[in-house]
Parts: sequence; structure tokens; C-alpha cells
Amino acid sequence: MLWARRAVAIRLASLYLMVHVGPSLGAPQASLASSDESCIFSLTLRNFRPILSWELKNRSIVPAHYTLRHTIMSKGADLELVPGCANITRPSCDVTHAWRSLVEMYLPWVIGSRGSTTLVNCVGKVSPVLEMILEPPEFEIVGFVDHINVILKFPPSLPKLPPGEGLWLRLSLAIEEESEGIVRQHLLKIDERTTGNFTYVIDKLIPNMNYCVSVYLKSENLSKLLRSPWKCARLLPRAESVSSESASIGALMSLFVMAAVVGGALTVLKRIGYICLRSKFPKVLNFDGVAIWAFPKLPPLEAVAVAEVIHIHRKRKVWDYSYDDESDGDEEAAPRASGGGYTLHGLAVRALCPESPSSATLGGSEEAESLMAPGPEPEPWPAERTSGAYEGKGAWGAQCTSGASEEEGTWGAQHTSEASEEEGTWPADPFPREDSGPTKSPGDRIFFNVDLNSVLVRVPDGDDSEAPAVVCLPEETVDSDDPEDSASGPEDAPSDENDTARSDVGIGNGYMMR
Amino acid sequence: MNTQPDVIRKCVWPACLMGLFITGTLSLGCDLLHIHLRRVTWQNVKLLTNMSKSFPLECLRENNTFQSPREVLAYSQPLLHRDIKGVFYEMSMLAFNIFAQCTFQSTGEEKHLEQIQTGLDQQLQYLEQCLKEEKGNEDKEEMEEDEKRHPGARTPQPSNLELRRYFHRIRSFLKDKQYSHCAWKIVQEEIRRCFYYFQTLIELLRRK
Repeated sequence: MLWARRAVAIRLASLYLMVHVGPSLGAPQASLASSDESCIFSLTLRNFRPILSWELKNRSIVPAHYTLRHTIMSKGADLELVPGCANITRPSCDVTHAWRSLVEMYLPWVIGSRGSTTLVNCVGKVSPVLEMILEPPEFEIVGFVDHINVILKFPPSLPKLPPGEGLWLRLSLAIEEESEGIVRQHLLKIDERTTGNFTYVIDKLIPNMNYCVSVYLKSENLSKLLRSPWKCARLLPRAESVSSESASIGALMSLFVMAAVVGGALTVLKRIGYICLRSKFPKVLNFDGVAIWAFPKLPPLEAVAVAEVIHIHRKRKVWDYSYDDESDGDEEAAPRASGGGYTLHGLAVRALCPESPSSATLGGSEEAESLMAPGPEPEPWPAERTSGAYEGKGAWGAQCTSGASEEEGTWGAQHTSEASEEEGTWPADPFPREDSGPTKSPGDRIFFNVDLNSVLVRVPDGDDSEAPAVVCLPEETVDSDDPEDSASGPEDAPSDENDTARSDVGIGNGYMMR
Repeated sequence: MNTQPDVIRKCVWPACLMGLFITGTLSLGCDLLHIHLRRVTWQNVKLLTNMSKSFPLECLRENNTFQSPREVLAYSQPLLHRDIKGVFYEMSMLAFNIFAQCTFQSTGEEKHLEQIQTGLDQQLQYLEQCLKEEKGNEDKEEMEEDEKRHPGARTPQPSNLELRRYFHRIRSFLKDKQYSHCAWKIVQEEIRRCFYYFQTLIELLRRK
């Protein structure tokens, strides 16, 4: 009876030991025997800490608690409980201090239970060197004008392990920047000093461009890589620097152009004599010692008015290239009065100057030309005017003396007369006279040709009722031998023009140009 | 019609070119010793790791420590480049002999084993060629100069004897366990670790 009670006690004790103590002594052998490969193990290096996680193939089974044990295959030791991985609710555990060597093969054993019921009993085999997933660190990027700051976030400290141990050994960090299909890789070595947040600068970038950055960890051995998602940023445009550069360049260009333009303008002006004229005149132009009287004053500018010119028609003799005696001129064209046009017709003037030997009639032509002076619209010559009087809105400035006429500035006439006396030719007399000399018409009228372009007319002060003043023009003789004088009538116009042209051109012939 | 001479003539020239190419490649490959050794060794490590997805837990009871040769695998000792060839040749030869006796149950494991043996065989041929060239071009004066530059560098040297003893322990374990399944699993894991150590050794030498 006593022996039976002892046997029962021994059985109960052994049973108690098997239930409670057995797992720590070797009872797992029985559990291991029933284990299977119903779990999928994965090892991830996160923030330099290896994290072992498992997933049940049969997802319908969801244990409430997990217990992780492990051993190293080469050691042959019993399965040991991983610190901090007993009765955990999550299917993962930090094995930093349990798994330290990359070369070893680790055997994890997971028991999943709900209450007192064991739902999962799986064993696996993990080689960190080939199966560990390197999770990239977190990072942020900040874009500037020509560079990007990559802010990497590492744990404040590394796992404290003996030297040469740790699954995070011999790692390097790769930073890739991509823009328009071009990828550049930057490699950083990671060691015990790689802790906390630090910034890596990617420089020599193009402004106003879009850049994307990605990071991942690399190891010398072929571990599984996990690339981070791309983070993109657009760099700031270099507006200020570009504008300042362009402004400076533009300013320099504009200055250069302005300097070139100014220099060219100055050169041209100097060449044409507008500026920097030579102060030294030739001696012949030096009039300092010349008496003033030799250079009479120029008459003040006078208003030039339209004057009427009385046309005197006169028959012209055509020179037949014979040197026989000339027949007398026959007809005298009736003087025409031109409303103010320049005329080379014979102008009948009453001589008031006794000194003047004769008055000459101005040779006339059938056609009246433009007026000698600006004024209102020239009035056409009335054909019936035969008075020979010179009428006009303004009267000729009558000067009775040759000197006065000189004073009046009838330079042209005087010079013409002088020139004609000198040269003996009528330079611009398109209306040749039949007579070689002045003729005397009844009434002591002297006819002479006058170049109205060279005649200045003085407008009397408000007195238009008086008889038109008579101009005392210097004498002009007509050279009938002049080929121009013997020109026919129809040819007068072109010859007039020619003479006009000659008068305008030929200073040396006695007419002064206006 | 006799077409054989025509075929031979057609194949002679390409064969000669191939022979020249192979010899040229081999002669040039000795300059890339580290790359070749690192590639082959790492390939063997992966093959041994993936040979079996799981490890029989009942084999944990039969696990044994084989005491890897520290004289060969110590990182602190400087190892001359010409010693690498001899060490790797010895290791490859011993491992190849062990795997030649291995028999695995599954066809997948057998396939992996064949690949491992092929890789070891190629590595042996490559190392033999390089060792012959080195022996022919060996200059005694250069060896004396090396002695002056690195006095005592050859002592202590990586001992091939220790390496042989290591693999002898492995062979003895197999024999004692009667080449059981668990024994082979344990030996497979041990040789994998050995290959990994040699891989690390090559990387250290490459950095230097």
C-alpha cells in the first residue's frame, strides 16, 4: 500500500516536471519532433538591427502569442529562448544580440499558441549572409539652385557588440540621383561612426531641373537589396545670377555699341567739316587787313514780292549761219505782263538815271517763266499789257544811281554788266535782241534784258497806289552775234532753260546765283 | 566520296583558334586570380546553402565541432599572394575528395552536389595551371628580396598540414557516423562555413 502511494507520487512529480520543467531541459525534443515547416521566415536589417519575422503558410490560423527560440547549426547546442521574444503578440522579433555572425546558419523555432493550445510549431533555417534583406534608411531631400541636400536618418547609436560581430558589418550606402534618364551613384561607407542624422550634398547639378533621389544599402556579399522609393525635387532657377550676368553683358554691349556709334558720328562730322573746322584760313581769305569799304554791307533782307513783268513780243531773227549784213529786227513783241513770273522778255523801263546810257529792254520770249522771287502765286501775264511798265505787288526797288543799285545789291546785274563788258558775251540771255545795241524806242524807252533771278525787289511801305517804281537796272547789251540770240522762237524755251541753267551755273559769265 | 577529310579540314582551323584562345585565356587568367577564386568560392557557398531548405532538428544531437584551422583563416596574419594559390588548391582538393564520397537522397540535392564538384574541379585545374607558371618563372633573387622586405613573413605561414588535419576530422566524423544523413548534413554545413571563411580571406587580400 505504501509502495503504491509512492509510485503515484513519483508519477505525478515526473508529470509535473515534464510539463513545467521539461521544455527548458530537453523536452523540446519532443516538440521539435512534431515541428514542421509551416512558417516562412524572413530576416530584415532595419536601422542596423536584424529583425526576424515569420508568416504562417496557413493564414487561417492566427495564434495569440508567439515564442521564439533559436540555435546555431554549427554549435550543435540546444534551442535557446531569444531574449524579449517570449509570449509576444507580433510575429517578429529583434535578434540583434542573438544573431551576430554573418557566417553562421541559424535555426529559428516558433511556437504559436492561443491560450494553452499550440497552434503553430515550425522550424526554419536562415542564413543572414544570403537571405537578410537590407532595408534602406529614411531620408529627406531639399533642392537648391545647383545642389541637393540628402538628409539621412540613422539610429542614434549602433548595437553594442564585440568587435568584428554584427550583421551590419561591411555595409555601404548607395545614393542614386536621376535626371532625364541619367543616373549617378554615390557610394558611402558605413561604420561605427555612422550614427544619427547627417546630410550628404549632391552638387554640380543643373538649375531648374527635376532630380529624383533613391537610397539603398549594399554589402560586399550578395545580399538582397531593397531600394527606397524615389523622392523628387525641382531645383530653383538661377534667375538672379542669370539676369545679373545678362544685364552686365547687355550693358557692356550697349556701351560698346554707343561708343562705336558716337565715334563714327564724330568721325563723319569731322570729315564733312561740321566740327573741328580748321581755324587757319588761307591768306587769300584773310580779310582782317582789308578796308571795310571794299566790302559794302549787304542789304538787309527784304521781302520779295511778286512782280509783274510786261512781256514785249519781238520777232527774232534766225541766224542762217551767214555773216551777211543783218536785217533789222522787225517786230517787237508786245510786252507781256507776267503776274510775277521770271521772265526774260524785253522789259520796257523808263530810264530815270541820266548816267545810264541807255536803257535796255529786256528780251522777252513768248513764254514766261517762273517768278524771280517767292511770293503768292504768280499771275499769268496779261497779253494785252503793252505799257511796258513793270507792275507788281511789289515794286522794284528803285535806285537811281548805279551806286545805289549797287547798294541795292544788284550784284548780279552789275557783275553781269561788268562781266559782259569784260567778256563781251551774254551768258544767259535766251532772248536775243535783234539789235546789237540798245535801241531807242519812241518815248525814249530803253529795252534791255534783265535776269529777274538776279534782281531783288523792294516792297514799298504800304504804298501800292503809286505808279510802279521803275527799276534802274544796269545796262545790258544784247549780242546779236551770239548764237543763242539767233535761236528761233520755238527753240527759245529750251534755250531759255539752257541759259537759265547757264546763268545758274556760270558765275564766271557775270550772273550771280541766287 | 570521302567527306571526313573535308570536315576535319574545316574544323582544324577553328579548333586551333580555340586552343590558342583557351591557353591565352588561362595564361591571362592567373592575373585575375582573386576574381576567379572569389567567384567560384561564392558560387559554392550559395549552392551549399540552397541545397536543402530545412535542417532536420533530430540531427542537432549528432552535431560536432570540427575546430577550423586558425592558422589558415586568421585575418590578422599577413598572407602573401603566392600562398593563396597553395592554400586554395589544398582546400579545393580535400573538399572535392569528400564530396566525391557523398550520396544524397533527393535529386535536387544531387544536382547541387554535381555543380559543386564541377566548380571545384575547374578551380583545381585553374590553380594547377597558375602554380606551374609560377614555378617556371620563379626567381630566387625575388624570393630573397621578399624575405628582406617582409622578414619573418613566411613564419608563421598558413600551414597546409593544419588544413589537412581539419578535413581529416571531417572525414573521420563521416566514417564514424557511417555516412548517415545527419552526418552529411552536418558536414555540408561545415564545408559551407569553410568556403565562406575563404571568401572573406580573398576579400581581405584584395583590399590590401
